[in-house]
Amino acid sequence: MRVTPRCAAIIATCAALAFFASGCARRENDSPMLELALETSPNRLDPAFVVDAAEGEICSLMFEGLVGFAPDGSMVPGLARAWTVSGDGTHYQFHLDTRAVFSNGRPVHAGDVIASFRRVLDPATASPRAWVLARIRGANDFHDGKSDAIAGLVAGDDSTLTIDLEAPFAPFLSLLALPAARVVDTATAGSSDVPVGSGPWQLSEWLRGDRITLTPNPHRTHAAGGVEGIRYRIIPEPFTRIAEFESGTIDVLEIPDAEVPRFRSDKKYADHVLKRPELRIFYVGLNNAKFMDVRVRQALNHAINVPALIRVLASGEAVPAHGSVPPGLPGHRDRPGYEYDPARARALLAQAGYADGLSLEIWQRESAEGNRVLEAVQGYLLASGVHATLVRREWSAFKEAVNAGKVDAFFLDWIADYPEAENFLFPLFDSANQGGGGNRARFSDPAVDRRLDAASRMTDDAAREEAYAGIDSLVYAQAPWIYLYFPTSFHVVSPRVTGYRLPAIYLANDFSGVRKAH
Amino acid sequence: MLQYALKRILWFVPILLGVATVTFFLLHVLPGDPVLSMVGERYDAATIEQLRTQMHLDDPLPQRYLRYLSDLVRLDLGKSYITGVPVWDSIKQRAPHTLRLAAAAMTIAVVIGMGIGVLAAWKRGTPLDYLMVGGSVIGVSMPVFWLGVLLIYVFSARLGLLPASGFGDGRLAYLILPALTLSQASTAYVARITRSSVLDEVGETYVKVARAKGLSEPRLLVRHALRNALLPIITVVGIDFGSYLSGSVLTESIFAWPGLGRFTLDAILKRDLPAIQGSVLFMAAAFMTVNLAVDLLYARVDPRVKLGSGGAG
Repeated sequence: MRVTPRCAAIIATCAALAFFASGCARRENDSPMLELALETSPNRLDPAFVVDAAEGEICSLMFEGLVGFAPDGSMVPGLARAWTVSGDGTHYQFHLDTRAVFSNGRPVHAGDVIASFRRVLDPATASPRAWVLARIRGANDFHDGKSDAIAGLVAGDDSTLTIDLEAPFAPFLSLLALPAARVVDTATAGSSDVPVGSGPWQLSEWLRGDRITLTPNPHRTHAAGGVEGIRYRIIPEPFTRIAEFESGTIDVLEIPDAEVPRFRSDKKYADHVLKRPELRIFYVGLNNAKFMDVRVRQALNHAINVPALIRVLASGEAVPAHGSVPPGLPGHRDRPGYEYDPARARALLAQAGYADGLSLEIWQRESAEGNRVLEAVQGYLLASGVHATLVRREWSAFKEAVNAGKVDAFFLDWIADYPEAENFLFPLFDSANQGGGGNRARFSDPAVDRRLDAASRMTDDAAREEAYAGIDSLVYAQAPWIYLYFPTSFHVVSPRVTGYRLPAIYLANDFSGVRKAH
Repeated sequence: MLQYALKRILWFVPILLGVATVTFFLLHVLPGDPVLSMVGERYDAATIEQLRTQMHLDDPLPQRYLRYLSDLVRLDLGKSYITGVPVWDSIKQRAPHTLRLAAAAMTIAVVIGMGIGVLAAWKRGTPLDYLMVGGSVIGVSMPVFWLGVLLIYVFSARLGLLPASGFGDGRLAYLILPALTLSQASTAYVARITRSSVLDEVGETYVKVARAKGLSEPRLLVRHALRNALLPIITVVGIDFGSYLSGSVLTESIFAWPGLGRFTLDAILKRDLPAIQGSVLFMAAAFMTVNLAVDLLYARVDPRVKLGSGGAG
């Protein structure tokens, strides 16, 4: 210890000066890239393993499917420039765009589509998303190891592909736009965590836990967009994301609910706030195997003042859910809801044998939304004589208990993977999907199952829409959930960025029109 | 001293084995299933079964434990269930960020904390002393989360002087706010310990003699009293540094710092067993290494300390 006080003082002064000097360095707000923020770090950027929205969004930029979604949610050509569907809805023929090329320069052929589908369905891959392609003829046999080939997939030549289904399934094209059906260069897929794709953007850098950078696919004939790249930064805390946006280092911010009024009234940002009605529903799932009396479930719906929840918690910007199909999707209907009526709720409970009140646990995972909504729900329930205990668990333990049907009730949301009523009604209410398939309320009605199956086979769009609307009414009348609301999200875009559009669905991001002044 | 150090390092092996065993069985009794984190919101039972079999999660527990130990002996921490990346690669990527943040925080704590402590001891009983003692009480009790948010609000959002988050490819400006936030409790604690230890020494005869010889008060405090007051300070700094090396979940989350704390938290939330086991082992090893360094430093600072007489410690 030969450090003299003078020496220590010099070191301390130098350190302080260095800190100060570096601190005053000019901020990096002149990035030529579109700077975006993600709350959590994606786990995988491989279409076969994509399971959440952030991974899906990034993969949809890097990988193309036969078809894709336009920002308004409609179907657009992807690798296939045109397609035909047979009258019975089981035979699809795709004509591939001969200009399509992977980011390593190799052209995309029909064989690549088949190889990519085989990869997802191959039991050795153990993809959690094999169900996306399971409707192709022979897919299940191949997935179960009973067959070496997938009979329903045939490449006519390099640019023609036919797909046969086991049975007609009207939303099949939407399934083909999901990440699991996106095409990878299977020749190189085993050599890296991230396969090569043919999308407008390619992965240029991935620092796990910090950032993901995409740059244009150099082999595409049409430009990816007006920015040099897209950088996703992983910033877990909402407050930090807001600070980064306000200091100009990220360009687009999804505004937390509580901050929406401030941004909308701030002169600097008011004109740059974008609003999107979400294809998403918040609900409290009731364990239908436990609450078998429909009057109890209806009583719980009458106990909650949903319009007041929306007014207070969502700045008045959400739509009360009187069914599970969100506005904006074919099949949504404005139907009368369960009105807020505590007296009626008490009467229904009394008729069902709960005149002295009812006690139940509502499980939730850790989330800001869950806390805000459920504390209000708990208060309303108490006013109708229902004692609700809120049980908080982290995601993994929550899912395990809820999927196994071990809880009375749970708070969850469901967000569309593809813009179809089927994507809500089939996973959430078909009895075959009880538990992890999506039907966590364990709802079971053979009539609903039959009608869901029939609707999925209808090739006439208008008839199908009517069928799903009818199913939604049928389910709603049985109140398998406490129906809450369809939320609206708000995003604010840096004034330096133009041409940014909020897509209707997370897989439909398209940055081709985005420009950034710097 | 070398013999003592080697003996302590040998003790690392059974301790790490104990840590590995306790972690393994604790994770087994926790609710939650890693497979559910891999499959998202919609899946079928067959996929779950297939994944469980592939990851050997259906094997009997003793068999899994033995496989885990045999991998460990070969220094193989396995691959993350969730990302598929080898756990050691992830630790290697994250550890330098954690080390950098920990070192910066500790430097701030030592330089500022000791400075304040000595100053308070020198000006004992004056308003400056009360201010510093009061400040250190606030510092010890201030929540990290609150301070972090406050610093971001002032220096990033309002003044635009410093970056709010990220590690900025190693640039110093990005280190300042997280390091200040992380160091806050240690700085305050070091200041309090320094003040009281220096004041204890001031009553000793050797200090009185030095003062009688005409030494100036600052010189007396820093060269004589502080040097002898170093032992408790080193203890505090050592313990804090060890815990910082385990990653600082709150600071790393607020500042989006890609360190081990967030990595471990993510792994725990997703029940990513290999990643949790690997990072816990790494943290235990880091803590033991710092403890050993602190013990060796004791002997160097204070010749009265004799090493090697008391077992593993």
